[in-house]
Amino acid sequence: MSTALLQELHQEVRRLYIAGSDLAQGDFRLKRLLPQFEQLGERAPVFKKLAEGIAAVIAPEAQETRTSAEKLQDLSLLLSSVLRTLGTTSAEGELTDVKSHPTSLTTKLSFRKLAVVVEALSTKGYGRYSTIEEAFEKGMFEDLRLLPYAIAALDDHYDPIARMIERRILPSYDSQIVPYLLSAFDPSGGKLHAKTLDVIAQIGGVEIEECLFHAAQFGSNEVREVAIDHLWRFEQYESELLSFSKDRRWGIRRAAYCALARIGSKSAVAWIYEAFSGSDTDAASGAIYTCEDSELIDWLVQDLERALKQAIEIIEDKKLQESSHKKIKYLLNALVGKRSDSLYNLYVFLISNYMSYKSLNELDLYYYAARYLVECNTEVAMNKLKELEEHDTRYMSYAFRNALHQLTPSQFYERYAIWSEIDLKVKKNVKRRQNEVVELIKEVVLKNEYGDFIVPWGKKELYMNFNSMLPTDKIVQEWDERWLDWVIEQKEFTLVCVFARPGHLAARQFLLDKLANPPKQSEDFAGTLLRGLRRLGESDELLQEALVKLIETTKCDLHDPYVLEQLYQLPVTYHDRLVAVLPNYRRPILDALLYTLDQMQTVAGAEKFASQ
Amino acid sequence: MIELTEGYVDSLALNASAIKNAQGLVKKRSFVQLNKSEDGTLLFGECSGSGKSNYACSADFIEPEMPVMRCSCPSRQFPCKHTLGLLYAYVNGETFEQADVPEDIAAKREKAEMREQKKAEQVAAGVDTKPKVKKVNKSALKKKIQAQLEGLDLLEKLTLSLIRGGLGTIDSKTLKMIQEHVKQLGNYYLTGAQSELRRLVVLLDDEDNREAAYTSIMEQLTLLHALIKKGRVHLTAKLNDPELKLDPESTIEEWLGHAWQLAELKEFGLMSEQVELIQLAFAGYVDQGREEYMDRGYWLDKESGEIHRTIQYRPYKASKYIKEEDSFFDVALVSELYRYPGDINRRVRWEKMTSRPLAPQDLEPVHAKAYRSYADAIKLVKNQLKNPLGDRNPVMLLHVVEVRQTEQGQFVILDEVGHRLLLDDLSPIGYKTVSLLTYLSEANLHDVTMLVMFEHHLDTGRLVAQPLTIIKGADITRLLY
Repeated sequence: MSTALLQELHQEVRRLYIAGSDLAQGDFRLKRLLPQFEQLGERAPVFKKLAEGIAAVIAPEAQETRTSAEKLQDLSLLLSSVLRTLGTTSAEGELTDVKSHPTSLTTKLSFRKLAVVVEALSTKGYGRYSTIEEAFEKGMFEDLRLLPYAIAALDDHYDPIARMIERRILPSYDSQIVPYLLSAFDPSGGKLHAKTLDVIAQIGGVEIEECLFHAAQFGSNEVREVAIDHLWRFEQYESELLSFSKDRRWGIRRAAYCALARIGSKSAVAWIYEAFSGSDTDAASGAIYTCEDSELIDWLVQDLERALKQAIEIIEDKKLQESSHKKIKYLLNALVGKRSDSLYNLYVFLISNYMSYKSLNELDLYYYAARYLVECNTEVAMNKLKELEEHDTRYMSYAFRNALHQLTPSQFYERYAIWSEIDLKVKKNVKRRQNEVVELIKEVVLKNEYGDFIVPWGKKELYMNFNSMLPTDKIVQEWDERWLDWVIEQKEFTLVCVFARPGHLAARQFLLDKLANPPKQSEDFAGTLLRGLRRLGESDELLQEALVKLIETTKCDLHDPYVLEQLYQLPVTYHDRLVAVLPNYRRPILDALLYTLDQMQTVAGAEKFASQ
Repeated sequence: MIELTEGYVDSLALNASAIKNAQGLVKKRSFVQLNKSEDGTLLFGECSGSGKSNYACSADFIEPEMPVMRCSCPSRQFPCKHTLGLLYAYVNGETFEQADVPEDIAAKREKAEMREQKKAEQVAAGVDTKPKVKKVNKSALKKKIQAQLEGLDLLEKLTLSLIRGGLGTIDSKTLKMIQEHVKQLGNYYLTGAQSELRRLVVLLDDEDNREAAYTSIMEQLTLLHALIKKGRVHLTAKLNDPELKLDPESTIEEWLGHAWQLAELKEFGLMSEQVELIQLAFAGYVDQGREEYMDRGYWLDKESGEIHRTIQYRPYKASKYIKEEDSFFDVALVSELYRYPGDINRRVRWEKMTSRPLAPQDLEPVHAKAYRSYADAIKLVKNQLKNPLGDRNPVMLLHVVEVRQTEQGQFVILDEVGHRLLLDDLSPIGYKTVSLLTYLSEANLHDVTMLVMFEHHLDTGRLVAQPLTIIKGADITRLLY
């Protein structure tokens, strides 16, 4: 049957639907088709019917009872039925085997489970990240049907999702998906293709060498950067990487230097150094940061030494100064994290000649030095840091931390316990330094802990944020006992609690005074005080009384596992006093109090039962 | 002792978030108490919630086909997360202490037992206890039919006026007018026609792709035309029939908006007993015409070899409280299967079902019932497509000798005589499956049985098929869900 003719009629009918059936009357294109249908109609009744339909559509309105629209609908209805019986199913041409790359992926998960993840991968909105991450952790990406969505989500507009797909999810499929990524990868494409290549390079083996090198040469700029970045895996491309590092584009040069740095050969390192100290400092700096070559470090230290000396000489010339400072900054940053004797000596030298180089401190020169020396366990380093601290108290924390590791507890105490009445030089300065020492001690002996902790009531988990203290045995070992007197003189409540020890009357008096006049509202007062009283060696009864008193008189904050533990252990004698304070508290603390009361009743019941 | 699997508990849940929340309760150890009855048919426990007192939840398996879930929480979801959590705890192997059946549940069981007893007595006495077809109020029905006819007139007037003016002239104002008509059709008991008109609005609404959509718009108008013509003939004939009987043969009743009751189907002999079904494919999607979520499953009737479909409609607003269906991997044992009037894939429903795990021999009929000649299968498909009101996406099992690719990269399946059938992704469900073929092993591409969905593309004059599932021996690879 003449399918082509029918298709033609279909197109004409479609045209009339768009233009409006009112224009169908006398339509010359349909008129032209009519004889062919009439001719075919002589043999096949269906064509005859179609011919009648066409004739009706083009006939003038007056001759028909039906409207033009109705006639067109009738014709279209008949035509579409006929066309549907004539649909071709075969595909022409040569057939080949399916280019399949079998995977170990399965199709075992149910729709409902997958649909949530598919939605998260293919839509916008909140909460998608955790859904995808959870699915990944459960191993749901083992299901074949998620893979196409995962690949497509490389382009997700929400960056953390795209990054998770690129760094974690797709690499987890391992090399089995490389052929699919390769088939979807277009070297001349944009960001998505750069990311695809990144995944290919992460999981692909030697087979991707050709693709990677091709992309490095001919890809779009984004793709080239990624390709070059990964080219270090194939050392034979060192000379090509050298030529890439002369590219016009900054990003390409940066990637080439990084790749050379990872190859790490003598010639590569020399080239990067040359670029860094020459005119391409910025592009090569990333590579310099990652390169640990000892020769390179020495070169850089020499450069830094020279540049600093030069900077001192040109101190008057503002213009020259600017470029010189920029260079010094680069060198200082390049040396962060690197360790060498030459660098150590340079920093020691700089501190010894503090006055000469002081003017360069807008470059944070001495911060770099302090940061380096704080980790050196040598007497020289300690003394230099002390010297630095004496020049400027801003460096105190470095000197403090270094000395804490190197001095004996008593030496350390002698150095940092500054007593107001002894040091009478400048009153104001003393107070400030005392405060600084207090803060530095706190950094060492207190640890902030937070997170959800399991509790036996309410929602079973409670978010808590509190300070835990260095254990008493460590305090005895590492801290001089005179510190307790010093922190009492500073009226430093938290530290008194930390350093408290049995038999220290002044500390006891200090804490009891605090208990007598507690702050109306304080986040960790109860926890700190109870810990302090315990360190003083006070009895359970005193602690319990203190806790209940705090609960009664203040808005006591119980977000501390230590305090909650004391609460649960309250004896039944406190029952009525707790009941009385219930109206003052809200959830979740109210739940803790109710739980405690509940426990009291159970215990009381059991005791009563036992006594009977 | 009852045996539960995680999959079974999943299948009881209304939706995925209910599963997540329920498992969260188990993980957070919110269950204060877990108990079971002596005979193991009742699980009950207490779960702490946001309220002061715990929620008492229970799952009663005294009738394993229809477990009864109860909970004292105020949730409108049923079963709620607490009862589901209770079942997950059981599946996870948590310890359930033996305890007496709580009084309130014992009382409820007793009541249920009494009801059953009464029913049994009635059956013994010869009283028919099965639900009866409601007696029809004929004068009201006549009024309804007349209204439907009026509605069809209204619809016809609208569509014809659109065609006269031409689709090219339809602007936002006309679109608004059509939307008004969609609303109006609600007054004429024509929910089927209303959905189809809404579907037309959806097609017209996409102004950026109007040119590409013209063929579909035209198809939709032709469909409405067929619906109007056939509907009118059917309704007029019905009006003249003194009994005003339903037509159990064609799908026209459903097109006009009739919701078949199971009792009606039974009366027309469309109920079969003790049927075993295997789900071969499943997908959920949004039907914009009906403004509902659709959960669609394709099932093989092991005995007859027919491919049935199950459809669950979930209106947007109520979707939270209606169970979202899911892929089903076991064999469904259905005591009473109700079939709707239809073509190759009849819609089916059932009230009660039990299941058993799928055994390799269960899949033998899958291979045996698959069409080995594409020419035969295509003939049937075309016969259905010819009918403008027939289902446009018939689904069939085909035996595939091999899957191959054309030079342009299109996929083709071949039967024993080398007849080719082109594979492509189809629009109605909207999930792509063809590209997944490249991930499959060689074995899955040769000598397999494939479940495919057909569609005719008017623009290209092609009949194409989308692969939904591949069955190789006892292995099922679901490309859809």
